[in-house]
Amino acid sequence: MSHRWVVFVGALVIWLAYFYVIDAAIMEGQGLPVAWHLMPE
Amino acid sequence: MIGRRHSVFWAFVLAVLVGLVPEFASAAEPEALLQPTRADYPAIAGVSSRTVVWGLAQMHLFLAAFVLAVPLFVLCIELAGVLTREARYDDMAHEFMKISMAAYSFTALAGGGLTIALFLFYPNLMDFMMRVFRGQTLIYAALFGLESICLYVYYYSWDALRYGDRKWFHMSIGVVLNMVGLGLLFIANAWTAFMMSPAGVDPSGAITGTVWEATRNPLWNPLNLHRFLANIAYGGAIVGAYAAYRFLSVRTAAERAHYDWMGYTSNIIAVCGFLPLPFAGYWLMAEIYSYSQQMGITAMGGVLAWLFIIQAVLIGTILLAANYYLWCGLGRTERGAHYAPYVKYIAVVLVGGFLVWVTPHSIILTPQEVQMLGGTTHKFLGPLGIMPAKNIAVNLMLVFTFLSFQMFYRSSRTPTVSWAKAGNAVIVALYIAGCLNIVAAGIYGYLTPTVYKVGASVPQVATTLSIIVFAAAIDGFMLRGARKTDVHWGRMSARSQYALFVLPVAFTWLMALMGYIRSSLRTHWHVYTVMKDASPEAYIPTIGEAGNTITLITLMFMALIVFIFWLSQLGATKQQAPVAGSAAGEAAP
Repeated sequence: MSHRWVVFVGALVIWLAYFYVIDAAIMEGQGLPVAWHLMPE
Repeated sequence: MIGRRHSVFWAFVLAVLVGLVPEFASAAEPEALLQPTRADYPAIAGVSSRTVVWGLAQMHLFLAAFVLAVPLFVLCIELAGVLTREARYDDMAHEFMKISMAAYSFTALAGGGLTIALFLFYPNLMDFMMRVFRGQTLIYAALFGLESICLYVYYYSWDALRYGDRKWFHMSIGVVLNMVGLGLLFIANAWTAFMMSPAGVDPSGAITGTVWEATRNPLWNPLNLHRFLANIAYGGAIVGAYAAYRFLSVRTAAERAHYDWMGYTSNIIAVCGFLPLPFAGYWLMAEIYSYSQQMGITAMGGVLAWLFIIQAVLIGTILLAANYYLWCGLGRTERGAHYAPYVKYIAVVLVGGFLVWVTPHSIILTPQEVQMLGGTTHKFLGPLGIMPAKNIAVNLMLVFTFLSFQMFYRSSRTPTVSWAKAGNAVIVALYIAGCLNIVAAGIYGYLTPTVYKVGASVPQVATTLSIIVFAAAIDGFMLRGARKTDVHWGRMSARSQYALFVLPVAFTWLMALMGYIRSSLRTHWHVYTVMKDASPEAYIPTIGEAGNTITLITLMFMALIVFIFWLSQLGATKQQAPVAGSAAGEAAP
């Protein structure tokens, strides 16, 4: 696995974490906390 | 001391005019509005009052949007010229202003015609509006005069104030011009928004608040933002068409290069104004729902809902045209071929998004078709007809439009920093993570209760903006000191220029369509829930009638634009002095 791929995978994880954090913050800001039990089974 | 007294006096007069303090007459018991009757509407045989006002209002809005937007980006281009010390920016900005000048008198003409028509056909409404906004109407008139003065001074002093400190003075005139222009826009928006979401009056129509309270009504700021962005996009699209018109008509390579660059810049301006526009539109619609659920349902859940499918077609057309132009632009650079293979993937996303956007939730079906489908909605296509799917589509289309621009920008630059490969990997990861998040938020919104459907759209917007901001920032650092290759301006096919013609046509039609929808939301009210429309035409026009009217208005405006382009070209044409033995000289550009 070359250096570039390591950076890519690392960046992907960080960006996904970033988007999850802002998603949760924005939803909670609207009074709509992210709740997985709302999803149909 | 005297000067101070004068200042206090004029500040008081201004405050009364703006409406920050109530007028003395307002201290009396507010009187309920006397609702108009059919007899209060003057009729002219064979003339549809509503259609006349509709046409004039729409023409005035098209022209005003254009002439107010152009000085905004002209000032930015002028500043770019000062910062880069390249004369071509200044020349282009000046040429943009030239087109705007030709349109200015038509704007005033349409505005004057609209005012006369409103007072003629809807005197009671105008009487009410005058009583609500009082001195503000005088401020509007004063600002219009000031706008004219600033515009003429700004344009005609261009060459006289071109270099050194004088240039900064010239740009200061541009700042004043734009501030006055924005003032005009915001005041006109206040009147329009007041008719939809009145404030400062009670339900009986009695004026209970100040002018400022009526101005600061619930839909004012969403409308301000939406129209501000739309004006920028619209202005960019129109001057882009002018550049395309000139590109196709000029003879020399240097002129073609100039107008190609002008068209490219115009397209970027249009795209920059357009990218955040759906979000501003979304905010406006959310505020409409928040103000009146009935009004929101009339827009999105009733007969007008079908027009949002046409809106999707027009916006899809705009995005496809803007992207197509950017893809053609890859031919201007040597490294453009390196990015060309990726175009087909962007095209798949754009066309896929376009198809999702135009998919209606429910369609008109025969009983046999309902039986065959097993319901009124299709099992797979039905979910694509509701907002979560459409939000995914529009956000992905915007992200990939930005990617098209980013590819062209990079096609003339080779990064020289040591971390270029890692930087590219980070940008690719950003796009992938962002797109996954947009899709995931859409699916989450689809599966969860209704309130989450609306709520989940906000993270999608934040994701799109994050991708644009972070990708631009990383690119900015990575391309510092990049090895630049020539951009061969003028090396564009003729068909690419037709994409620039498509943009203003689609924009004009779209604005006319959305104007009809916005105005129809008031249904049978002049001022929603306060002043009834008792005229014979107090109903929402049918889609067919509206379609014919807005198409006719669009055609008339495009004819006017062609005339303005021709005027601008005529102004730059000089007849050669006749030589001995010849009756008349030939025209030379």
